[in-house]
Formats: sequence, C-alpha cells, structure tokens
Amino acid sequence: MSSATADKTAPASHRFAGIRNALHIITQSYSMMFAAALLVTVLLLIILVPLLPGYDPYTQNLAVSLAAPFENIDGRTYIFGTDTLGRDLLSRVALAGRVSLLIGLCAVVISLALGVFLGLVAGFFRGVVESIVMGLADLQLSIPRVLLLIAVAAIVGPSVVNLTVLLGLTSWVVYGRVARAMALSLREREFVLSAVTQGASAAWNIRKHLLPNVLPQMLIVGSFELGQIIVFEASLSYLGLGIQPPLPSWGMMISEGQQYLEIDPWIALLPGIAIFMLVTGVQFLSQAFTSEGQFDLASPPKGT
Amino acid sequence: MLRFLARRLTQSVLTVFGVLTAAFFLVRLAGDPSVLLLPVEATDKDIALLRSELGLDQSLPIQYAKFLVNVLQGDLGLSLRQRVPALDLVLERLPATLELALTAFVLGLVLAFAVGLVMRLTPSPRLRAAIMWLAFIRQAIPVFFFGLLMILLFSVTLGWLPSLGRGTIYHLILPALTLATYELALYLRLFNSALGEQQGQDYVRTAYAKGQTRTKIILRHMLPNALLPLVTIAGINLGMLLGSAVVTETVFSWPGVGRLIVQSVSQRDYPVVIAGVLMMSLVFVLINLAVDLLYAVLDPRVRLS
Amino acid sequence: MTETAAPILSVRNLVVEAVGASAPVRIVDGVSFDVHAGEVFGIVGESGSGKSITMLAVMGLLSGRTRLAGGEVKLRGRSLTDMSREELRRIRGRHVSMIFQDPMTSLNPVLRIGNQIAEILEIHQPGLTRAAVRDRVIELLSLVGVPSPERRYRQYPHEFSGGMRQRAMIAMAIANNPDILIADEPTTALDVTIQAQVMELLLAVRTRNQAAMILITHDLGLVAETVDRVAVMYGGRLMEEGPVDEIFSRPAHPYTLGLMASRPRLDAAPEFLYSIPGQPPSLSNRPSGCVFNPRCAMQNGREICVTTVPSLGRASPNLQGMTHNTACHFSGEIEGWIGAIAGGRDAMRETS
Repeated sequence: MSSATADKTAPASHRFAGIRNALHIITQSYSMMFAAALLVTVLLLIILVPLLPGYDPYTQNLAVSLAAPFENIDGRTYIFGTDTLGRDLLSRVALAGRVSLLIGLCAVVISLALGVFLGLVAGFFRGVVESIVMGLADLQLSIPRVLLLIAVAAIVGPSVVNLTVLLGLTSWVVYGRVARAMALSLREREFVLSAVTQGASAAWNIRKHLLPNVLPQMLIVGSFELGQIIVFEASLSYLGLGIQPPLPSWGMMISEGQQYLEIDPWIALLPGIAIFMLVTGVQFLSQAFTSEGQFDLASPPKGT
Repeated sequence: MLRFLARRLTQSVLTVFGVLTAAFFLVRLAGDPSVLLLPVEATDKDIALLRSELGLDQSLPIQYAKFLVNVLQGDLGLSLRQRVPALDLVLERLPATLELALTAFVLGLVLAFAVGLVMRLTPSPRLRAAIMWLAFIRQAIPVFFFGLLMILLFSVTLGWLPSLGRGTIYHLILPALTLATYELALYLRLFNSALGEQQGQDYVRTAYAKGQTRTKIILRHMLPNALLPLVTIAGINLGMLLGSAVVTETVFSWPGVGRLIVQSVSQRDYPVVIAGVLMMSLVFVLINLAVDLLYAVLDPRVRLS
Repeated sequence: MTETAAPILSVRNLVVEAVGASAPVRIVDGVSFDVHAGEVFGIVGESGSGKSITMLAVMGLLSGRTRLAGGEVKLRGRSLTDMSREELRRIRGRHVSMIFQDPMTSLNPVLRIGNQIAEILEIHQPGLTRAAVRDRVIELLSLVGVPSPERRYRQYPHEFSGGMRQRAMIAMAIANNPDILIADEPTTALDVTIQAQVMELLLAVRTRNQAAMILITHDLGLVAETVDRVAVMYGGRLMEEGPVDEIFSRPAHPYTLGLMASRPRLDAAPEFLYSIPGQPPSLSNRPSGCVFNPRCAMQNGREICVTTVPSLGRASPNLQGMTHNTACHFSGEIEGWIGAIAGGRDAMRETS
C-alpha cells in the first residue's frame, strides 16, 4: 500500500496533493461518488438539523407517538415520524449522530496518538520495550473487543467521557503495528543513522524523521477505524451499555425500535440507515486516500 | 509437528494467564472488589468473609495467588442475583454460544469459498462486481442492525422464520446467517486477492506448461494455496466473530453466554460478568489453537518446521 | 549434422507486445529461427533481450499484459499460432516441455513431488493405471538421479535441495518423451557446485530421448560447451544465428563480437575487462534502424544503420550445410575488427 503521500522526501504541500488525488479518484468511479454522496448527506443531516427551527429531541408528546415518516398531525409534519414517546425522530437521529461522531473522532485521535507513540517507541528502541508493547497488544487482541468494552464499561460506568477514552484505549493496536513496522524499516535508513551519529536524541529522531513518514498512512487507517469505532459505540448503546439517556444514541434507538418492528419499523430503521450511511461513506472514502480504490478481480492469463 | 503443537499450547496457556491477570486488575480498578462482588444488602459478616477469601487484607501477590487458585478450582464467585456459582450459570449457556459461533464460522467459510469460486469461474465481470458490492454493503451494516433487518424481512414480513430463542434448526438460521455474512466481504476480497496472487505464481505457470486445464489448475493448484491466508484471517477474525456473537445473541434473544453477560451487566451481577468474559476468552484461545492446527494440516511447510 | 530435413520448430517474424497504459511495447520484434530435430539450440542475450518471452510465446504461456501480436510458429509443420487453446494445451507437456529457472517457486509447495510429476503423465496418458503412473514416476526420479525415489515420491518440494528440485522438474519435463525440451536458464538459480551436474543430467536425458533442446541463457561459456547452434538476441530482435563454433570464432555481428570480447579471460589482467559501452535499449523507445546502432563501434556515423533495420541474411557460405545468418549492414567488415581486437589483447598481455 503506497501512495504519493507516503513519499518520505515529500514537502508539506504533498498533503494537499493527497486531497487532490482523493477528489480525483472519487469522481472517477461511481461507487466512490455514491459513498461520497452518502457521507455528505448524513453529515448534512447531523450538522444542519439541530440548527433548524422546530428542532426538539426531548419533548415527549404521547398524543403523536408512533407517527410514520412524513405524517402530518395537527399541522406539523414529522419528517422522520415519532417514537413511542412522541419525540421527533429527525431531531433525535441528528443529535445522536452528533454524539456518535464526536465520540468517534475523539476516540480515533486518542487511539492514533497512543498507537503511534507506542508503535514508534517499540520499533525504535526494540528490546524490552518492544516486548512489553507487543505483549500488551497481543493481550488485548486475545479477548474479543466487544467483550473487553462491555466488561470495562460495566465496571467503570458508561459515561460519554468514559466511553470515548475506552474506545480510544482499545483501538490503538492497529496503528501501533503499522507504526512499529515503519519504525523498524526506517531506523536503518541513512538519514536516521546519520542523525543518530550526529548525536540527536531518540525523541528528536522520532519526531523529526519517523513521524512524518508514519502519519499519512495513519490517516488512512484512522478514517477506516472511525467507521469501526462508530459501529462499536452503536453496538454498546444497543446493548444498553453505551450512551445513556437522556442523550439519544442510534444504537439505543434501534434497540427500543426493535420491540415495535411490527407496528412502526421506522423507529429502528432510520437510525440504522444513518449508521450505514456514515460508516460506508467514511470507509469507502478512506480507500480514496490510498492508491487502490477498486476491488481487484484478476483475470486468467492470456493464451491459456 | 509435535514441536509446533507444544509451542502453540504454551502460548495459549500464557495468553489465558494474561487474560486472568487482566481480569484480576480490572476488578480492582473500581476500588474495593467487595463492592462489586457482593449484593447491596450484604451484611458485614458477608463482607468480612469475602475479604478473607480473596485475601483483600493481604498483599497484592497473595491476592493474585488466591485469585488464581480460586479460578483454577472453578470458583468465580456467586451470582448476586441467583446465589448460585457464577461459573455454573455460564457453563449452562455455553453450548448455545458454541453452537451459534461454530455454525456461523463454518458457514462463513463455506459461503466465502462457494461464492469465491463462483466469482472466479464465472465469465461475467458484472456478476463479480455485483457480488463484491453486496458484500461490501453488508460489511458497513452493524451486526445488530443486520440482524434486525433479517428479522424484519424473514419474521415480520414473510413470517418464514422465528425471530427469537433457540429450539429448532429454524431458530438457528437467522442468527447464524447474520454472523456468517459479516466477514464475507473480507473473506471474498482476501480469497480473490489470494487467488489473484496465485495467478502470477511460477508453479501455476509450470502447471500450464504441463498442459493442465484451467479448471484443474484452479482447483488443484491455486485453491489449496489460496486457502492458507483465508484460514489465517478467519482465525484472526474469530475475535470479531465471538464479539459479534455477544451482540447477536441479544438481538435474537439467543440464550448464550453473550446474552447472559449483557443481562448481568444491567443487573450489576458482576461475578457473572467476569465469569462470562473469562469463559469467552478461553473459548477464543482454544478456537485459535484449533485454527492454527488446521493451518498446519493444510500447509506442509509449517508441519515440518 | 545436416539441415536438409525440415526443421522441427520454425519461428517466423514473432512479435510479442506488452499492453501498457500508453501504446503497446514490442518486447519481441520480429524474431525468426529454426530448430532441427535432435539439435541443441541456444538462445543467448542479456536480460531484457526477449529470449525467455520468445519461448513463452511459442508455448502459448504469455500471461497478464503480454500477448502474441504477430508471426507464425510451426511445430513439425503444424501451425501453433493458428491452433485453438485446447489443441495447444494438448501439445504442452507432451510434444514440447519447458523447464524454468527457479525450481523452488516453479513447484507447488503444498503438493507432493510425486503427485506433481504424476500429473503430467495423467494429463497426457489418461489410460494409465494409478500403479503404472506411480511406477513410471519412480522410474523417472531414479533416471534423473534422485536417491531413494520411493521415499522421495511422497515428499514436498521444500524437503528437496535446490539441485534435486531441478532434477524433479527435468523428470517432469521428459515424462512424456517430448520432441522439444525448452530449458530457460535451468542452472542460474542453483549453487555453482551443482550447476555442472544438473546441466550434465539435462544433456544426458536429452540425448537419451533424442529430443531437440532449446537452451536459453546469458552464460556464453555454457553455450560454447553445450549447444550446436546459437541465436544471439538483443533488444527484442535477432542479431545473429549460426553454428556455435562459427559464432564464437568468427562472429558476423558487432554485438556478438562485443559479447565475445567482454568475456573475462584467465590470462588477461582484470583491468582490461572490456564491456560494450552504453546501455541496453529501452523497448518502448527503440533506436530507429538497427537496434544496436547507438552502441556499435562499427557504425561510424553511417546513415543506413540508423534508418534501416538490417534483415537477417547470409553471413558466410554454407559450412557443411549449416547456415550462419546475421542482421548487420556491414557484416563483412567484422573480420578486420576481430583481428584488431585479438591483436590489441595480445598487445595488452605483453605490456602487463
């Protein structure tokens, strides 16, 4: 997996080249454009709806409960309908989206920082440090992530902050692996060796040389992981172990909606579709930053 | 082969100890374990009893030792809700989880294999693209939502299959399919790239030079080699599978360990939570070991190293 | 050895293209030669000269982006290039066999050696019983000098040494007594100490089966010792072809001359190692006219070398019935150069 953005001698303007590249790739394929459309739509929903008049995720009104989408009651159209307590679903889906996205982004930042740090340190210093870090990684991987999240969330209590930190702490391994691999390969390169012989300290080396090489790839991984984390958070909320009321969360809305599938499936469907749109958009686009982008389906050799 | 086996076994044992240690520290994370492990209405006598049992008044290493001894004897405390050993409750539910997880695992590989072969042998590039598309979309849908969609379609709308509980094989279909299709996109992509990789391999060229037919080359030469990375990844994804199983059990009210853990968390029945998590980790380690053995069977190079 | 009999393999104006992002690149650009029954024919050239691709094209083994874009190949008078895929498939492994360079990667790591050799028998002799196939495989293994063949039959490629793997490949290749054996750098990937043994085996087997052999190599020394006729390729084209002794003692092409001169000699000091100045040509951007002209010392600014591709023509009158062809506008002048180089080298030896 290499791309222009991974060129180690590239100046900072290369980062913009990466974005330009991405836009180019996106517009070249229908699936990319579709994914971009999904992402933009859901982001618009999340960002704009809370700014509209009539935005109200909390007020209960049993008289209008279980309204269908676009149903008009007493002169008010509920675009997404209402839930069992008569709350406006559009507002709730939007707010839940904000919460999920915020948690997701923060968690990615935390896990990225932690992972890159641990990975670079492990790869650069090797020896005992590396063993400890890799041991931690293995340990963490020896238990299914959802279980780990459930167990810890259960014990420390599910608050937004706890959740974010927890998600961040449990997602570092993938960055750590990549960072370590990069550190291992780069530390033998001349420019690092020469810096070392010139007496530069380890920290300086890591910051100056290894970091810029590692970051572009991390962003690609990070955008993919964002999707994963959002799904994890939704799963926890679905189980009741994630975001707690009164804050709405997509997962919990789906869980509540499941009981009413026969009567009003929209309560469960709409948040689910929102998750799908956000995750698909984010994950497809993360591929736009790599030089791949399409599925590779090799064909048989010619003349055989 | 024996050396390989011995090495993997040792690793597994170490991993299990690692998880136990982590659990040990986790419980103490919240402060005094007696707060977690005893019901609210516990008497002082109960508390004192627990404290001496866990060695809470003694040094950490001794606590750890006692903890290990307790665990190895199968003593993971009593359920706060039902006053029965936590481990018993977990063991009761274990067969259900295993049934679901293993069915889904095998089903997932079989589906990936079958669909992968279809993709490889079909002359239509549109069909290939359509399949990959569907698999990708499937992966972007969280497991629980997909389960819900399955219920909506097959139970609520069509009424073909039951949506809850465990009993007949019909009850197993929806949950297993939900789990099995999740990794399908990954397996297919891997399978295709593994097969694609095989394409350029020298021994494939040798096979063509021998005058072998394309079909036989795919089946006899490329497939066994392509299976190797597939099995590896399937093993690695076992973690996801077990984790997804936990969530899926709740979706379908499947009476397994996962559902037990979730219910226990909301009931604050921590001994059961911990017992459940430990058991699932153990299952995970064991299945990983089995997958590694399978890999050794498939790849003679590993066997003889 | 006369060539009054028709050649067993006849290649005419073979063109192989690689399809890329821009215009297709001609990797092999109009190569023609004949191979006669029972002879050892060598194809020499630097890497990138197109020698391997030529033979892959003959066997219909081009893959990926490369494809046959022109020319005709005839085996015993039957056109291979016109054949259907299925017909070509039946010829591979039966009438024409190929041995590749790296036996480690050329054998399937997860299948037993015995099964892999058996496969070629099963494909082309489907009537054989399992027992007969097994016997034949064991016979082949001992023929190629693999000790304890019954035991080795059940082993996997990684349990064989490099030399033994190549022996197994040879066993596979001769299993159906092919008319032509193509060996693509058969010893290059092996230890130097094993190379001679394997080469010896290859030649012995060939002689025993009375097959023709096409040896592709960059090793001039090997060519000198083992082949009857040799073709010299450069930049995807044929420079010269003829009897090996002729080519070595009286080359009729400046490139061949350069190759001969670059061979290190034990009696010359290393600082006098000659190499042809310049770099091999880029195939997507071939020099116009003669592909060797940018590096040719004989060109001397003469226009025709740059404007016209020299065609393959007689270099010298028939010697014992064998032709010696060369693609150079001024092949007649080479004799003078040979003398100059030999004299120069002697002069260098005297001063060192």
